[in-house]
Amino acid sequence: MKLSSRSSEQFHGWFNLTLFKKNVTRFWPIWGIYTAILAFLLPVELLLELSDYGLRGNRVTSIQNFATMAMPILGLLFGVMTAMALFSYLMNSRSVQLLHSLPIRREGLFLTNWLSGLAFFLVPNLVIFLLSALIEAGAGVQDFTGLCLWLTTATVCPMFFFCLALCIAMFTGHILALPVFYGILNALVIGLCLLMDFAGDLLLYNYDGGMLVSSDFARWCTPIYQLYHMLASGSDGITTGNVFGVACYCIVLGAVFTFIALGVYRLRQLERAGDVITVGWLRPVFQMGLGVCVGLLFGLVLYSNFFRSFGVGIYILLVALCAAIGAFAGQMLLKKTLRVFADGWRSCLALSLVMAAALWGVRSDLLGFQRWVPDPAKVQSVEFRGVRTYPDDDGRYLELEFTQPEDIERIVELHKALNADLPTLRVNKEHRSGIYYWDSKGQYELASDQYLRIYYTMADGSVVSRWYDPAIVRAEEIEQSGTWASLLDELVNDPAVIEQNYLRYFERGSAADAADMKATGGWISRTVQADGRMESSANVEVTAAEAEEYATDVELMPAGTESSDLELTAGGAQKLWDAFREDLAAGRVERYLLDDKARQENCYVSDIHITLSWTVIDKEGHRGTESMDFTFTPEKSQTSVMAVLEELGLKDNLRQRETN
Amino acid sequence: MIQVQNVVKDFDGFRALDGLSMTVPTGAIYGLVGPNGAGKSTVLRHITGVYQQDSGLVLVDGEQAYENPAVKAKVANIPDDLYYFVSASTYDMAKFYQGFYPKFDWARYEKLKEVFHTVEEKRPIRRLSKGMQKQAAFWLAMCCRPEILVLDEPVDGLDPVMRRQVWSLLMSDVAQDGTTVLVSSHNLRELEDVCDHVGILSRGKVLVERSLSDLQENLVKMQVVFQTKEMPELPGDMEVLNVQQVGRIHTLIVRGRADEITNRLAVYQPILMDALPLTLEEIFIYELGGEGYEVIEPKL
Repeated sequence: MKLSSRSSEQFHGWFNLTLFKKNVTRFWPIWGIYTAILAFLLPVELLLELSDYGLRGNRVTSIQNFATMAMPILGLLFGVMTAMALFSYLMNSRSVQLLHSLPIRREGLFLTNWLSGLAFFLVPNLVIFLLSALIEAGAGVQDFTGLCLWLTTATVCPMFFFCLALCIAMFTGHILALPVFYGILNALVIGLCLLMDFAGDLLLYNYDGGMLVSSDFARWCTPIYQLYHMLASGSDGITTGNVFGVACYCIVLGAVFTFIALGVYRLRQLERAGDVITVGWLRPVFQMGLGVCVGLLFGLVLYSNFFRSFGVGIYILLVALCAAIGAFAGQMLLKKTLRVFADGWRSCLALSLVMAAALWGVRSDLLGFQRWVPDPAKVQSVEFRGVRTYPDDDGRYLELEFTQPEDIERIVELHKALNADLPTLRVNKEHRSGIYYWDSKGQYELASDQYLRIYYTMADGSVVSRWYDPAIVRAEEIEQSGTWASLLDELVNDPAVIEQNYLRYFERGSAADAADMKATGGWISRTVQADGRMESSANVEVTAAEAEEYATDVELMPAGTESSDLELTAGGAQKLWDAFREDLAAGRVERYLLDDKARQENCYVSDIHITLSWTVIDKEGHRGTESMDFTFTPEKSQTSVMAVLEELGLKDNLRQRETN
Repeated sequence: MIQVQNVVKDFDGFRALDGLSMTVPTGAIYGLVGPNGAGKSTVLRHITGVYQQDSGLVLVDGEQAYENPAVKAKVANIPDDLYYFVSASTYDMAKFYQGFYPKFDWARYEKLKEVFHTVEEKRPIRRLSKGMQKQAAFWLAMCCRPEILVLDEPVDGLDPVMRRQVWSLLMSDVAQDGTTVLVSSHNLRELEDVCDHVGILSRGKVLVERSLSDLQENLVKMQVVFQTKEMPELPGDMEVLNVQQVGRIHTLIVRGRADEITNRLAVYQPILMDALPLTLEEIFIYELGGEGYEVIEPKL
């Protein structure tokens, strides 16, 4: 037996080798399993690949990339396991006594355990790195950069999650509460954002449902999501830049969590071992926080599944009730007893009332969310989506971005008009009954369900969105000047807007680019048959003589040969495309918000489909051709198109709506 | 010397220590007694530097005990509820303690192996019986060569032979090295044999703190047979803690010295009078009786 004495520095210092060694030997299953998993991810996989197919460069990169992508998940799991093992002594009054009566400062215990955790990850990572490098070098295929990127990710991700779990461990004194809190806190922000989005969607008419959950803030506060977002960003796979971002995120936040943990540990009341929350000021925060989360979650679940027909007032009551129950549950956990009613009813009732008041405040739009419109001068661009118009061709959905000040002002005016009609719009959302969509004969549309999404990109770079769903457009409001429906009608019929909207399907999307496009063919669908019968997608059956007559510009194919539609030659299609662009430029293309009489009288049932192709040049300067089918519905107002159809002798083949 | 001055400690609104003050002289064997929940274990955890007091001072050799490695290096602790690492043997724990306690003595470890021969040193401590775990705890604590030994219910679970063995070792350490022993126990009979100082705790305070001899001299049990069957009215300044009557014999527990009380009762010309010393257990019961903690006869 070795009888040795240690220097006094070790006993009173910031690090204790004996404790470090004890940690390594006590908790070997953790780093052992971690090492085994890493071994299977890299060296074993490389060896298998080598023995099966011989290592190739792209396979090495692929294996390393897979291993790198696995590290956030491994870190998530092993981070908490390591923290649970190394700091479990704080969760038990007997082990607290053993460790804390030893002649070592708390900082010494903390640092020794922290370094133990670092060693649990760093040593296996280095061993696996060296093994993999040797295998790759032996096979003569080495992706050293990729391996270094893996090593960096493999080191920072587990350490980050270890520091996060360690920080949480300092706030709790219950070993089982630690993984539960860890799991919840890892997804708390995004979960709360989701619940608040649901609440906003229910309580506010024009709330954009994914506003919070899709925010950068939610992502940044959800580590696993953020790490994968950073690792997978860009189209070039896992790059140095990606891993550098991951490393910065992990190191900065990991350091913050470590310092918070150390600070809390220095002040920790050790007699709190066994308590769910050990820090005094956090206990009411936990209780009320649990109440809020339970209220929002279970209030929504109950409302959506059982009480939706009772209106949002019931939702508010359910949230308030569930919040009180959640607060009671929180108090039970804190006090470790079920008998908390007598002591806790006041705070639970207060939370319940605050929740109800807050939700009612949101519903009453006390903060002016619904009424908000931006100052046009502060808007950089605005994106407008969701309006569906007739005819049902490639211009049917209005989805455009406006950047010109006059256009922005126009959208803001429309936004203001929408807000002026908020009470009606809101009633429509909650009680859709009583809206007549069609006239008594079912022929003309009187109203239509629309939805409008407006995204403002403000001068400061922030994006503000509003979602109007449903926005019910009524015929009489379109006629009435100054209403949002009439402003919307003006917008969708603005020739520039129509042209831009039609052409947005093409990658380049401007009128000048459209001029470069060449028609390579086309067809007309839902035409009138020779015998006068009309069918959807019917053929135009013609005699061989007739076909020969029109052969220069149009080819009429017999039914059942190659196409069921009326085929156009390249020349005919080009003529129609040029004519349509002429009509677009001249403002002779009409759009309709309703399938009303004017729309039915102007628009044909038949659609014209033109296959367009254009030249593209990629980043490397290679030229290529892209093509796309473009569909528009011929209208009587499109005089140029009508003239070409007349010239081609196809005008009579266009089918019109039968009206009573 | 251990000095605890006006220490207050609250646990979630419950006051565990309520201005507790006590002094343990260097080289003393100090017995800490008190009813359940009086705060004995709590004060010991303050002295071992585990708990931080809300107010007051806990000094060991003039230095704050809390978070002071220099103080903790002098103190070995055997808590009521022992804890050792899972699957750690006595030998493993000895190696562990060696890494913390500067005076850890392997030679003594080897010597004590003979004393605690029933303890298998390579067997996990958690697999040992309760009594053997206690023996292992003593074995390890003594090898740390502490200046202060803090023991919470130390011999609970030990057989009589081992109890005597352990006390003998402790007394020998006190005699040879001047070790200070602070021991909390409900076994007053045993404490009476080993302690030279006693502190009685109740409701987070020290009620009485004296040397055992002082304590015994300051309280006397008088057995008296008066002239009449009923006890005459005694002087108002005579502090009688308890009176019991069996037949004509009155047993009085009176605060004061035996000779002084005998003289004062002699004026009643009792037929028979005898002054008897009190055991520590009796002192404990009668002192706490004044604090509303007494044996209540059940009403059946």
